[in-house]
Order: sequence, then C-alpha cells, then structure tokens
Amino acid sequence: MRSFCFVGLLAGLCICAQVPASEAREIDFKSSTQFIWGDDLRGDGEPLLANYLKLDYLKDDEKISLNAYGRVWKDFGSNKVRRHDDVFGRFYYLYADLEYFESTSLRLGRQFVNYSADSSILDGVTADFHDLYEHLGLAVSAGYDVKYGLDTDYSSDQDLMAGFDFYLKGYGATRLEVGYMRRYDGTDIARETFGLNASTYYKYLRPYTELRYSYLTESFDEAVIGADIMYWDKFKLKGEYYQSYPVFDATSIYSVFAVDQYREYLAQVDHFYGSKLTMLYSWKWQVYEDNDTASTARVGGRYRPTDKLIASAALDCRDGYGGRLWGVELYGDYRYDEKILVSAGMQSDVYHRPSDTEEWRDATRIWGGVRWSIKEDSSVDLRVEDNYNETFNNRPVVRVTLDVSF
Amino acid sequence: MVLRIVLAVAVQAILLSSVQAETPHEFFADASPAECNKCHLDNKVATNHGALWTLEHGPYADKKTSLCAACHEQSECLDCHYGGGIGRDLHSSTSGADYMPKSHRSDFRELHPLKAKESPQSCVKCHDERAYCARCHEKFNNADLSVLSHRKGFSNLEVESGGPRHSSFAQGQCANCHPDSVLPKHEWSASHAREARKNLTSCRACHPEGAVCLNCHSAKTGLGRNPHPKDWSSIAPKLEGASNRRTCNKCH
Repeated sequence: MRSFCFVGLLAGLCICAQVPASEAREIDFKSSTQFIWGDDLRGDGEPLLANYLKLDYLKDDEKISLNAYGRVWKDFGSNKVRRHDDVFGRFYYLYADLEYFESTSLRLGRQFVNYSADSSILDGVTADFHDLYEHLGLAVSAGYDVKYGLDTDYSSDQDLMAGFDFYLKGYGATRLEVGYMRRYDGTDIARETFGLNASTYYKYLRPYTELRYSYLTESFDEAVIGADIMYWDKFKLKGEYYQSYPVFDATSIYSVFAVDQYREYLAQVDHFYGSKLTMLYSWKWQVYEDNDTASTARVGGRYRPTDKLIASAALDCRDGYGGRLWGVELYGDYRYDEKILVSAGMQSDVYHRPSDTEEWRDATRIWGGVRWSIKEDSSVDLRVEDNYNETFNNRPVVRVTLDVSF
Repeated sequence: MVLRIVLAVAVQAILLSSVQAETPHEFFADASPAECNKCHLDNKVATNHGALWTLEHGPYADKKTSLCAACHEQSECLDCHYGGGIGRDLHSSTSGADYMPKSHRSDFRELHPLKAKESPQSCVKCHDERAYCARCHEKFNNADLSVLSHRKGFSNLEVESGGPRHSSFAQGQCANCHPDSVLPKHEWSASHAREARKNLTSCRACHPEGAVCLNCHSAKTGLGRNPHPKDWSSIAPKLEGASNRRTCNKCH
C-alpha cells in the first residue's frame, strides 16, 4: 500500500483534532511504535521500524463515527526478502459508520465483513437493516476484495464481491444466519456461495453448525457440525465433525480439476478443577481419500494459582498421512505489580515428513519479555526471542515497543 | 444426502428449541476468564475461550449475531488474521512486521508444509496463494521440495535408455508416443495425481496460474489426460456459464 494512506490517516487525525469540543464526543487514539531487530529468512540482518495506528472517533450526536486502523513500516535491512526500499503503509480498515436512520446503519470504506457465506476485507459499502421484522435483520455488502501480500495490499475493480446475510438476533440464546455471497473476476462470476451459521442452548446442550455451499460446484466448501455438552459440573464434552472440499474460482484453471474431500472427527473433554485449573484432552481423526488417515492427540492445561500468575502447557502428537509431529508448548505470565508484567514461553516441535530419509527434524522457539506500564495510557515492551531449527543454529529477534493511547 | 438430513433436523431443532434468556455480556468485559468460567459452570452453559480457543473460535467469531463485540474490538481479529500488532501480547511472534497467530509456532516456515496437510483450506483463510505463498515458493528448486512427485519429474526421464530426454520434445509431440494418453509407467502420474487431489491449494502456491498443468491436461495439446471430477457433467454447465467459457477455452 502506498505511503499516502498513512498521510491520509494523519490527515484524518488532524481533522478530528480540529473538531470543536462542543461537537466532539469521543476520540480514542492508540499508537504502537515498534522497533524489531532480527535476521530475515536468509539470515541477513533485518532491522525494521513500524508504527501501528488506531483511531476511533464518535461525533457528539452519535450519528457518525470514523474508525481507522493501519500501519506504516520501513525495512532497514538487506531487502533480499522484501524487495522495496520505501516506507510502506497498510490499512486494515478505514470506514465511516452513519446512523441517520432509526433502524438502518451504513458503513462506507475499507471494512472487515464476516458473513455466513464468506468473509473478506473489502473496499465498499455495507447497509445493515437491524429490525427488518421483529428479531430479524438484514445486512447487505458490496465492494472490492482487498488482498494482502508480503509487503503490499491492493484491491482491484476486477475483484468485486457482493452478498447479504439474514440474521436472527435477540431470540434468546439462539443465533441463526443465512446468507449468500457472489465474487466476480472482471465481468465473470468466480464464486457463488450460500451460508448457514446457527447455534443455540438447550438445557445443558449447545449444538452448532456452520455450512458453506458452493452453488457452482454443487458441493459443501466447508461444513462444521458439533455440540458442547455441560451435563456434569466439572466436565464439558465436545463432539465435532468437519469436512472440507476445496473450491476455486470458476475463472481459475484449478476449478476443473478433481479434488478429494477432507474430513475430521473431533472428540474433546475439558475438565475443570475448580477455578484455578483447566485441563483439556482431545483426539482428532483426519480422513483423506484413498484410505489415507491421520490422527492428532492433544493434552493441555491452564493453571491460575493466583491473580498474578497464569501458566499454560500443551502437548500434541500427530501421526499419519502427511507426516509425524510431536510438539510441546509452555508459556506463562506473571504480574509483578500493577506496572510490571513478565512473560516467557517455549515451543518445541520434532517432526518427520514422509519424504525425509534422515532422522526427525526439530524446531524450537523460546522467548521472554517484560511490559512496563509507565502510566495508565502508555507502556513499553521489551521482548527477546531465539529460534533453533534446521536452517538456523540460532536466529534471535528483539522487539522494543512504545504504546501510547488517549 | 446425510449432510442435508442433518441440516434439516438441526434447523428445526434450533427453531423449535426453548428460548433461553441471554445475559448481556458487556457488563463482564473486564472479568477474568476464571470469573467467566465460574458463571458458565454454575449455570451449566458451555464455556469457551479455553486452552484451544485459537483453533476453536471460528464458528463463534463475530458474525452479526455473536457476542464478541461485547469484549473485543474488530482490530483484534485483524491482528491475528492480517498481521496487525496494535493489540499484541508478549507471546506473539512476528515475521518481519507481520504478527503471526499463536497457531504458527516453532518457526512455522519449517512446520507449515506438514500443517497444511491437516486441512487444505486452513491457509487460505488468511493468505492469498498468489499474493503471498508464491512469493516464497517460486524461489525453490524442484529438488528441494518435499512433494514426492516433484522429485521424480518426467522432464529428465529418457525416452529409453540412452535416448533423448522428454524435455527435448514439444507439447504437440506427446500423442505420437502416448496414444490415448496412456503412460508406460504409472508411478509418477499416480503419485502426482494423488498428491494434487488431496491438496490442490498447495499446487497453486508454486503454480498460481496452473500453466504447467496444461502440459498433460489440455485437450488441445500435450498428453490430453482428463483432469475432471466424476460429477463433471453436472457442474460443467454452471462453471462454463459463470466464466463465460474463459476457463474452458484454456484446454478446449
């Protein structure tokens, strides 16, 4: 994204700063300036400076709000991975919410939409009719799909997408969304997807489902059906089925190829030992076609002995089609006092891919960090990390961060 | 068919279920997870935000009807899914200026080939294959790849012992020796097809436009192997109409 977007964000801030106090209601501004020093993927030094900015402005009459979130960064390193030498900017969202009609709101600009049929960051417009009929609402969106690369983001008039979502809200604890989304590639239709997202609570049972159906390929792109059971005081059981059938744009050559369906069966138990300890045991059975299967078992826990300390650990093991992996993860936070937070962690994995003739490979990451809250609205972080894997004997990364908000 | 029956039953069960009152969650935005769990456990309401919340939150995530906005800002979604860093904690790692979700651990560049096989669509939820994956994958030599069929490419195979390599022939000459698209040795083609069907999304990471596929799978030239799925006759008219024959014309 071009650096003028950062200038645009600054301009927006200046405009908001000029709003008379009698008209302004609330401006929330947060800035995170980060200096990251480490090696890039080739082992060359890659110091970079980044600034993340977030702005929320609500006009006094609460009929207009402006929300923006973006970053700007410069890579001072070798540029062997990132090809450019400029200051780069990126907007995650930049939109205005208009609430001039009682039960209708309008959102204009770059925004994140997450409907039952599809989700995207798009440059466009969303109209939300909150009270179409009793508990029923309707959201309609149209715009250009934004794509994020390694160091760019762009939207093109060739990537139009449009859709809607009917939603049930306020009907107790039952949620239901039914929607449709269409994506274009130029003037041709790339995808047409119907979606359904539903969940409810019935006594101790919480069934849920999320379905996405591709109209062009007559297949379920993704389907999740599951249920949580809280019949016992100390246990939660989860059973879930997931299937996936890759769908490609109709304008892509990949849309004509035969693909296999992927399925998962999950069984999980959460065990609550009072309020201080939670353990988790899960087993996932993965089914590919041609009689290929794999399974992943995971054991984990989260322990909070005091209000100041929290520690988490997880061990997982995967075996079957695609490779074998043993992984362990440990991390924790300790609040020394109201100003100092100390964190540390470790992840270690040993793995073996089917094509490997050598012994198992390993990858480990360890880190430690401290956060000092200078005042209520400002803080400084220091984080140090090191990596050991097949490519690097060690690859340190240091991050220093200054957060300011008002 | 089974899925449709389950869907119909689920919808009816949801609509006919007793309506439980829901407590607004805005009041608990600053509560600790332990406090949240206690209330849920006391009332036998399924908990969430557990140890695997990073992997479980998809179906809950902020649709129009979810409760996420009571405690979370939209920027938090984008911090994980699009590399933002304004709400990061001390455990989050970065790849350059991009923050990675916690599921990307232990140098994910090493592990992601294995993780990508767990669910073919997990990567594309955040990454565009052409804008993101191909930028790294295009730098690889075939011999460094773990995909088995790429280590036994046919280009260097000799037609017969001591004969010319396949790479010396043009695409239009394939049918001269391989009538009816039959290959004398099936090891390479069978393993390649098997790998591609299971994770075609990975293929696209190195071959974003799929041009290399047409060497064998075009009806106009090359080997002419049929790549279509079994239900092709049913879906072909829809894809043809949607793409205005643009895709069809690449091979036919």
